[in-house]
Amino acid sequence: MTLVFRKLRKPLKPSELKKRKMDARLQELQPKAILEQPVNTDLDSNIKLMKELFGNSSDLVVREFHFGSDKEIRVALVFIDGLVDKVSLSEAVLKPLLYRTIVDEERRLLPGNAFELIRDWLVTFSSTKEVEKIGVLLDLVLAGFAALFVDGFDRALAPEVKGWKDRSIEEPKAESFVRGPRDGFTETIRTNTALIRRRVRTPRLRFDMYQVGTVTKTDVCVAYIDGLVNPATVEEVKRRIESIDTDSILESGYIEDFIKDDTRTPFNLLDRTERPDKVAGALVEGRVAILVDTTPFVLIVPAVFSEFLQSTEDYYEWNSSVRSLRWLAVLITLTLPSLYVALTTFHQEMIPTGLALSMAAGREGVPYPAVVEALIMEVTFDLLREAGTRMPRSIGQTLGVVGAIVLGQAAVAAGIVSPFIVIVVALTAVTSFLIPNYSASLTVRLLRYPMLLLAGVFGLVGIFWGLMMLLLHMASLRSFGVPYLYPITPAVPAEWKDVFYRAPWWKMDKRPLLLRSPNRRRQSSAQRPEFPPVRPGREPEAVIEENRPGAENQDKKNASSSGKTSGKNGKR
Amino acid sequence: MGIEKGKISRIQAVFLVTNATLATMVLYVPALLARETGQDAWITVILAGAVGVLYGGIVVSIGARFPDKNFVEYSIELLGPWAGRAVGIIFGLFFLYRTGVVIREFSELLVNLVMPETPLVVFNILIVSLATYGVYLGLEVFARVNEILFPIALFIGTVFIALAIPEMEFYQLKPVLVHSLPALLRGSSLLLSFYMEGGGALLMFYPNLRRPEDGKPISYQVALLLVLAMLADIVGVIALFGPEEAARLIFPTYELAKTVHLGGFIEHIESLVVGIWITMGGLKVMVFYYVSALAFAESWDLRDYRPLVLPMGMILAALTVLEFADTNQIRTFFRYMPAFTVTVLGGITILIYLLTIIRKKDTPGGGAAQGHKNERSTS
Amino acid sequence: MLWNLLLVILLGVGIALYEVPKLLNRQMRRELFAFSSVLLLAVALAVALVLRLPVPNPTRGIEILFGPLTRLLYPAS
Repeated sequence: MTLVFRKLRKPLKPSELKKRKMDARLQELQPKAILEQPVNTDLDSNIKLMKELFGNSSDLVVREFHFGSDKEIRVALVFIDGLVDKVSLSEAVLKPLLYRTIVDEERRLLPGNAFELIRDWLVTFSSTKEVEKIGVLLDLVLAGFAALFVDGFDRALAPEVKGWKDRSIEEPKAESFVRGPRDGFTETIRTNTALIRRRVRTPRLRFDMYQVGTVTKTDVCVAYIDGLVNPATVEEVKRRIESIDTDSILESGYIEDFIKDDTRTPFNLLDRTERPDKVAGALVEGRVAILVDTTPFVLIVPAVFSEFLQSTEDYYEWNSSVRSLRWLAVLITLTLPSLYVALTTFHQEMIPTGLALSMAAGREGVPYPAVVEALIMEVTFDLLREAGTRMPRSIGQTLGVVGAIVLGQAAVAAGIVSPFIVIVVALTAVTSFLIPNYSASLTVRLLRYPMLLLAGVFGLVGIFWGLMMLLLHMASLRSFGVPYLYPITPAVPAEWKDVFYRAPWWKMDKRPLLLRSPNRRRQSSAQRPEFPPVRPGREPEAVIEENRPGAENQDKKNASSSGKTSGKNGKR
Repeated sequence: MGIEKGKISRIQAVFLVTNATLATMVLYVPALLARETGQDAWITVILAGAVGVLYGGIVVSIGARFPDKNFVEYSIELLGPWAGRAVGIIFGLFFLYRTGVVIREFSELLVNLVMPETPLVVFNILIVSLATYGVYLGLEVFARVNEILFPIALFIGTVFIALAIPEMEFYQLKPVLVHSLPALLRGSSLLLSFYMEGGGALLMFYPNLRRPEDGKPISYQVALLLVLAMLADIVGVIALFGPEEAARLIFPTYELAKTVHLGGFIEHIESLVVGIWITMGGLKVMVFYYVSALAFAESWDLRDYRPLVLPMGMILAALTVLEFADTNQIRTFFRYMPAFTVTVLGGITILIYLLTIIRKKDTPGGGAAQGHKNERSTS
Repeated sequence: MLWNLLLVILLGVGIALYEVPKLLNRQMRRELFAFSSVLLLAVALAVALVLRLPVPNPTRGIEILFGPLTRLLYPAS
């Protein structure tokens, strides 16, 4: 194992870790002494304390009331407006308390036993916690629990009445597709875990919760299927998440940067998605998912490069050639502009004569060398794309028109660039959109620029040099112990059926080797669909005729007779 | 295990060794062979292949005896610290020098064929920087890259030769066996010295095989690949140009690629061949460079070879300029190469081999070999 | 010439700046020593080449050392 994770961050020395945690405590906004103290027996001081802690923030609601047969029991309900579901709060907590004074004949509500009775008999909410420390209570209130203080008791009840305005489950915007489930993750971690659980109905699916961020206290959930995942990977993920020490986690991108194997790389070493079906698929393959509250983007580790060229849809709609098309797209995006530059600048003899002539004619009057020309157009395209992404959709379309017609057309007409570079840039743009993963597409597009410069200076030699450097770099990367270029290299040819094309499901009978699942086999291997053989001496049309729904009786006969014939055949 | 902890699979080792031999051999050797032995060159390929298998067998059997030690480590064990380290340093120097030569060979090719206006030093630095990066990343990494690229290069090479077949005239291979034995010897000794370098490199990373005990087939797998590739190349070149013309050319294989065109619209794809040579040559340089750095680090008892890599890159960049004045001197060097390589590399290897036989070190069972089996490592 | 000299020295300094802190951090004294000596050799060699000082050519050495054997193989020339 040391070997597998040898490229990981060096574990911190205990003293260093302690120091870091100390620093973090300094960042904690609440003074530690207050958080450690127990709940007061005196109700008024509890209320005062809560108000003090929240500084009279407008969303803190403190509802004080009396009940019991003689209204002698004083309680206070503290919650944050907007984080709790008021209907269930009143149904499950307020109503029973206010309307009922007697639980039954023997048990009367008295100040002495009020807390126990409320806890055991009155608060009819499914998940309720009993809390003794202010700090814990504070965390719960902030997470959407209500705090119920009872006068005279040094404990508080916290029913889980979470309920806030949540976006409904919608179709993921960033990952578009034709076929496949249309639900996407939301900003609530519970909804998201439920979306996964609904797809993977096994008790071995585990969601291990962590809280990260000293100020934001964000819930982070490590999801995996016990028995399918390599335990060492889970350990490693957990170790890395536990060692995060920051004030805020507002999106899974924060986590991503903290737990990545290598940050000095343009490649993303974690996969991210908004689609529960993709996460479920990854979990079943033996990967680990990291869910972060308040964001629909879920991280999947380990991730290898070839995965970024796989769309979830590939697994539903069987179109095996599209994979190789995407590899071609990566190659074109990366090298086409630089090839253009290298060929026009250094190696004109490689271009067929007719084309070379028209290219030279096109470049006539262009005042710059080809590199500058290509750089201008590529940068323009990237500017347009970036502007289009950040603009509202309606403006984005206008932008496209302006970019294509005004800039492209006019630039050629004005003789600033040659028509060929416009074709090249447009083609590159199209191919770059063929890469299904947004950030992988960004990476490849970013890498065009160094390639362009290399081509401009060293020609083809530079391009090959750049590709070699890139390959070396990619081969050196690892994502949670898995080599980034796996399964291409280290070569596992048996798994290329899911890399360069997509084999039918009955062929993909094993989990990826280097995920090191303790349970590699997914399904029995001989599941290739076989069709009933056409019996000798009968026309295929006749068989189709018999199998029509109308001809059931006949069908039975045929079945028995076919058994006989096949038996006969066997004897022969 | 010594400094290098990375693991490679057997197929990666085969590709690595083959590429470390083939990448420059295919460039310069056909012309030299054609000059010495004309149309009989294919005989020398087979002769050298036979001796090469023998040498490979020696390498592999030493390696299998010390499955957890590389060449320098067991030289120290067998010869004692002083003599062992001296052998290690000679080994390192040999490969350092050869790395310089290989870099020079490639930059010479680039200057001659692709960009004649660019100064040689630029290409030297390009190749050195590429190789330095690769060596710095380690054996595992460049073995993997080689694993992807080598089959592609081999495939494209085969396609090129196959496409040139219509232009070939096979009568030029006749008459057979007209050259004298010394000429054949000259030819095959040159080829052999290339084969030996591959074997020598293998000595250094044999213990990094995932299962060193299963490494024996490497010797003949490599030899088979090499002999087939060289046969195809040399027969193609001679059948295409005839022995006299082939001997006059500097890069006959490149000229062969030049004759290829497909259906009238794909022409001048020889630049593609140059591109392949850059990548495969870069990998060859990496192997030699790595072996040299590792040998030095082991001889000096360092814990890591990486600190040596960058300064060595600088030495290499200087060395490539220093070594030769022009392309002709490289061709002259190939005359001295058989004596040089066979004496140094062959001498060292056979010395160690004899020592292992004399000491009759019992074959390692259990311990180390078992450890490798359990460690299901990635490479 | 002067620029090349500057470039060579800058490269040497750059390499040292990149490696030395790492070596110091990992407390590799022996490696540091080996690194510095090789680097010094490299810079010296490069500077000598840039200044066109006479540097012994290893190829000459090989040709002298292995000349006799080679003449055995190539008796004619």
